[in-house]
Amino acid sequence: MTRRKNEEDNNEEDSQTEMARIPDSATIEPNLDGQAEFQRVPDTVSVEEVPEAETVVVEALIAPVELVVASDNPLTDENVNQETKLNSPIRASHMTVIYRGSADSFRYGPYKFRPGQPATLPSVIAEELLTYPFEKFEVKE
Amino acid sequence: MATDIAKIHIGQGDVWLGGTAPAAGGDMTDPTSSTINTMTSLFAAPTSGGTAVGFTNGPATLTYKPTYYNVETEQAFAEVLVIPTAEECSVDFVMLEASYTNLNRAMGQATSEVNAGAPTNNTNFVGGKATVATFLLALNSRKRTAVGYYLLTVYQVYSMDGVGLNFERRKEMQNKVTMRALADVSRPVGDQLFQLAEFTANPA
Repeated sequence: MTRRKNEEDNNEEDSQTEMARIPDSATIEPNLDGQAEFQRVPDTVSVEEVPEAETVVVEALIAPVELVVASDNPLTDENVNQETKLNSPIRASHMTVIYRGSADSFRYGPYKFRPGQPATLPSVIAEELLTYPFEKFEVKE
Repeated sequence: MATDIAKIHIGQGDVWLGGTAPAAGGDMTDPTSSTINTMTSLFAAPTSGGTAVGFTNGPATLTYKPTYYNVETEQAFAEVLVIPTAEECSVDFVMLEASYTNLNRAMGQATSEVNAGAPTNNTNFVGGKATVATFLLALNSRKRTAVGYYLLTVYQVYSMDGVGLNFERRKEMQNKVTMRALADVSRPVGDQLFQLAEFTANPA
């Protein structure tokens, strides 16, 4: 007739997983003056965008920046005019990579990432990572 | 007596684990102030996100059980007052896809790693993890008439029984799990365990 239930709560550990929550990240955009502009990037993940599979996002190019020029036209601070700057191919030496998958961590060779924590890679490695046969790689400009 | 065969429901439940719970209501005394989870176009996924469990076998069963205290008096034969004192909720189903994400959720106390380098692998590490990670569970069941659907969203679950994985020559691996719900006390009173919505139309 009368029922009581004293349920033992064995689940004190009420820790919430860090599910698909990407914090604000700072993006550094190189410019030709060798200065780095900091730009705040707001949260880019909405519930509709939560990936189902592993995703690696190359967030942006960051300093330092290398200017690649022909060897017979050595580039120095003195002889670079505005036109040269505009026409020179630019290659960032590093890229910021963010892993957005569901696993607790993602490893690529010696590089290890956790969801939402940006990691900086040499650009060669980052580009190599993009060739990995996951479907969900994104490059973000 | 009005009867409606269309309201008799029969159909499987498709389960997603993980994702972000629909926003809690601003009025902590009004459960209806919370946002309602929906399915995206063509039933691709719930808007709460998460990873699809994939194939299941047997029913996916929602169990919700409140416990009541009945006040009896000398003056009346039947109890004159009843108050709720506890409630419990769980969802049971059998996962057939032995993906590392499914195994991770089922084992509960596992830490997963995707390894893109050689050799490529997805690994779960288990043993000695002191904290319990909870996650969202969404279950979609389309109506038999193909118009409308039910969507169950349990805000915080964990695998309470772990796994019993059969590696067997003549039987597929049946990963039976019981996902037990924890109350999310950051949500309004009355909306701390789950929401079960019936939609009368398919998602746009």
